Amino acid sequence: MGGSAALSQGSTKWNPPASSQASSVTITQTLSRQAPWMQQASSRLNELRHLAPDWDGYKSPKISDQALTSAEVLLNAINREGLTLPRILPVSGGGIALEWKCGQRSVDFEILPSGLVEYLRTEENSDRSESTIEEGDLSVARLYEARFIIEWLVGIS
Amino acid sequence: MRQPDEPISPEEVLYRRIYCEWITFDDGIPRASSVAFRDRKEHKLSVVVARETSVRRLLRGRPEDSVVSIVAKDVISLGLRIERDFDPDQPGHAVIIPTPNISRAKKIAVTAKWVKLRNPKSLSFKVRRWWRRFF
Repeated sequence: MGGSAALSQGSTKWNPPASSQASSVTITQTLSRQAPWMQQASSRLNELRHLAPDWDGYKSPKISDQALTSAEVLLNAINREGLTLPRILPVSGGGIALEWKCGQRSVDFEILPSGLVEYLRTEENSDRSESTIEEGDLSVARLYEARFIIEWLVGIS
Repeated sequence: MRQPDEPISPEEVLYRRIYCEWITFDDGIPRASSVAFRDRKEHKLSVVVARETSVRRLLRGRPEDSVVSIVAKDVISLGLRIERDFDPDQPGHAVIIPTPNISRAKKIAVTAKWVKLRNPKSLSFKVRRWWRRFF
């Protein structure tokens, strides 16, 4: 279903396909069949869950439960073989960052303490500088759309 | 003698302390992740004016952290402000306002240079961590 996502090269706006509205069913289905990197991602989230307050020395609170829940939902929405384990990093304030790089393309997700997700798609130029393709956010109800962003990363859409 | 409200010059070098998990590796080369330049609690980013403090003071009580330098004009050119923020424990303390979003943080990270790197993949880092845990 992700193959119908409307994302053309050079476009600055990406529109998810109408069929994506059925994705809550998809998320449930993928839970039972995890990609190899998913187990490591879960372990890493569990490590972040146990960071103590002020883990960064900047008085950050613990990673919020909302952020951890959104991260799990997002990873389950993305769950696909052929991807590598993303960098999973704690963000000051109680959020989580997920970073993937695939060839010239990169996707950065930042899960805010509220559970809202911001993302950035970038492409590396020949001089190694980066061009922003798209910046946006996903509400908790739209986290399934992360899979279409990842399909762009791996060159499917 | 510096005045408390003295503006920060675009040429000023700033230090940012880097939590050990914010160090990532590209082809084995350590770099500060863009995550190191975001703060979702304060919505402002803590830095210090390099010539008004020392790396040693910045790392006090943070034996696993590192320090990078950035130049003020690279921050200002992204549309961000840098303001002094008095902190009795940290001379030269300032804040970047607002906290950079992902794309701005990535641009700042690209310009960051190591001033003090404690490489978490190095043997000495692991030995010191082990030592602190048991002694």
